[in-house]
Amino acid sequence: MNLLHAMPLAALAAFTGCEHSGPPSESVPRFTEVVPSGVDVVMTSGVLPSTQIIEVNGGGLALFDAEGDGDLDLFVANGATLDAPESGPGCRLYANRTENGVIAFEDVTASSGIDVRHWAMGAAAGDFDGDGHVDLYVSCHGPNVLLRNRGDGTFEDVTEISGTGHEGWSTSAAFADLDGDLDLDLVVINYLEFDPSRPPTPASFKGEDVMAGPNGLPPQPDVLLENLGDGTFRDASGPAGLASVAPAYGLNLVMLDIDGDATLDLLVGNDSDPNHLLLGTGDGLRFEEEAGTRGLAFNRDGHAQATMGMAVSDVDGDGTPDIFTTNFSSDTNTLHLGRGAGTWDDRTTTWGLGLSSRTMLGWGATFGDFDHDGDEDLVTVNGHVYPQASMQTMDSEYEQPPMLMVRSGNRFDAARPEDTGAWIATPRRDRNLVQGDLDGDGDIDLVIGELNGPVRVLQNMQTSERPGVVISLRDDREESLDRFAPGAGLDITAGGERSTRWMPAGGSFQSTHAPQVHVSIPAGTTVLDVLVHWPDGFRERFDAVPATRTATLVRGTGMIESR
Amino acid sequence: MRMSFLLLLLMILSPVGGCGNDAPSTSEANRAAASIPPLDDQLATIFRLIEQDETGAARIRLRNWMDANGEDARALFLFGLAYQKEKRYAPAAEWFDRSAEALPVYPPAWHFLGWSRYYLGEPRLSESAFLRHLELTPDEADSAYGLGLVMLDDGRIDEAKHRFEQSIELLGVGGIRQEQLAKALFRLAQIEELRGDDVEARRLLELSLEASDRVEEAWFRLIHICRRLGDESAAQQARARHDELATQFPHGVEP
Repeated sequence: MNLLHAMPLAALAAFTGCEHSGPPSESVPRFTEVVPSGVDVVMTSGVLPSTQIIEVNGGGLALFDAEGDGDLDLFVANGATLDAPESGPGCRLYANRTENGVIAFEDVTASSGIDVRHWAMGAAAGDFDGDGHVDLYVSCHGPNVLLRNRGDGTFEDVTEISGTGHEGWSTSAAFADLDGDLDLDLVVINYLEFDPSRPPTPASFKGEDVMAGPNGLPPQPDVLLENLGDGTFRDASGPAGLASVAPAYGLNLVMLDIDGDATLDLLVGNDSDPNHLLLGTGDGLRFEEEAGTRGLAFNRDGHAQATMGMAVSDVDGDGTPDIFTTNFSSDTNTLHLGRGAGTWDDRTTTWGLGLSSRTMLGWGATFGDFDHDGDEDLVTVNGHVYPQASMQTMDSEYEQPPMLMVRSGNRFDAARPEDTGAWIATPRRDRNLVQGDLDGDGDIDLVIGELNGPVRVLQNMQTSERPGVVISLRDDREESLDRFAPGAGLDITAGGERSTRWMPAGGSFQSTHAPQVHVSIPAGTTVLDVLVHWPDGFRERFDAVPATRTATLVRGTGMIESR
Repeated sequence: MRMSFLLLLLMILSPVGGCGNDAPSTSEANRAAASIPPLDDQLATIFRLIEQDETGAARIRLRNWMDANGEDARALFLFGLAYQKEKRYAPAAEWFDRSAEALPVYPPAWHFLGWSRYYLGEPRLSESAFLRHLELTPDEADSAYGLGLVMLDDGRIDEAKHRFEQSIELLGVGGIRQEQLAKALFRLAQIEELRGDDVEARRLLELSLEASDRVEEAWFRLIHICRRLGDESAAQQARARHDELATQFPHGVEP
């Protein structure tokens, strides 16, 4: 007796869920939630239950040194509500007040002068004017906002004078020196046309009436703003090639030298549309779209995915960047491995990242050597967009726990709460995730933002004998305005181990990770050698970098500042 | 692509297939199967409703049928099938579980349980269900195919290859199974691609497309493999056919 199975082949791709088969507990990352952390905002993005697509993204996070005191402060992009979309509770800035290993933040929004009350979505941090003080760009539904850091703990709104007040529905944004002229250009990713006063009619998903979109709503094109070096920007989308690609539902981006040709490239994650890979030509701000031919437009079966979150790592250790994306429920997250020659292949299933994500709807994501065993693990935050979601209705719950996938050989295995902490056991409406060393102890901590919920700070409690080193880059040269080198890559050798790390601009989801690279090194190792691939293509070797908890490599001087 | 009404009906009407080494004896299985009444006209009608996507109406009738007749493995299975047709695999799996519990030698429940657990990302439960189905019906190609997918996701490449080959052996060649054959060949090509043998992967993909040229995913892989092999002309042809199919049968998870 035979049976013809009837499901579309597409649906035969993958997932996860309830079965956890983690690696030995000694190699599992451990985090504990910092309570109280001082980050007291309850994020606003419409009201629960969400009824319109604009309510479901939540606000982004940015970890950066706002005060110039050497530690990581936290910016929270906060939204608004449908009845008052231009007058929400406002974005927040929290100053890092960690002492003696106790992570703590203080709300300094009022004293900072930040007063952004549009429906904020994304947070991009970057020193656009090269004064050594990191500025902020807040992408919004409505006019975006550029906040210049004056260097005294306050910010000024320079949107209008800088020419960066793009309007529309911007999701993610990021700064990077895309044309190699030593200042930070700005890429703004746009989603779709949505008028809160005229919401679209509902759609249907698995038999349930659900909010409409993105399909059926007009997509908006992305924008590249060229830094003119005088505090102003101009729209260079046309000559750069962005205007020639089909507008898509853009949600995310990463910028790094993805194909190893010493120019920065731009990968845009689009929702339900093919991703865009804009490869730098090396001829100023000019790009060519090659996602299809390079293998990054679709998943293995040729299907466009939702692509909320993006993360970069050298998963297979070949020195080329591999790209991980989070996607919708009843689909899988996707791992595109670089195959060399500037092409990528979807190798999700063989690395154990397929079935394990099938009931999840993923958002922010990041790789990191959280347990200091020398390889990078992966964390994603999850939660469904539809309040109606449950296993009974949509094979996916509305509130979902984060997933920590621990690297074990050539696979990733889901960590268990009993090993890694209760934080991965609790279902939530998480959206955003950023990483950085908040307490200066040489390992990676996490900050997670929940839709219409709190911001949680997770302190890394790893106890490995392998020390961690957090590396930052700085360019103090007079001719440069790109002080902190977003988009750089680092080849690191320590104690006979080699690893490649990137500090991509963008990534996770609507957020900015700390401008740091973290690596753990063999116990007893006292120095590491680092080859820095600066964003403009210049390569510089720093030998015998002391294996202290933090190291700053200063371009062109051979100087290493260690702590 | 849609479920074959005829084949599925045959399966439902013939609850016990062959038996494998570890399966209950034929006589034992037949005795168990004989304990449930044959599919009556009402259940056959309900099945047709499911086939026509009238799944809500089917569930109401099933409820009425069970109120009158009590719980029955085939009625429980049809409940699950109605949810499976809606791609709601969690409730489907619950009903298939109940069906299999009511009559452990009822093959369709195990087969569809295998698929629903697969779509729910529960590879261990999916694997055990498919294996149970193959114990009961060793000639079931689609369960061998499902096992191959579970093993592929589990990194058990050699075992996956064996299962896809087994699936092809069981399928034979002809008529309604051509698309299933194409899918199995497509997965064998995937394994060769993973092993780095693009030449063999291309050969298998071309065989797959010979069996059915409507598997969009096979055309998509062929584009990339031909490109890697330096055959841009073939890649362009594959792309044209892929784009044609993608336009005809748009795919998307989101509404």
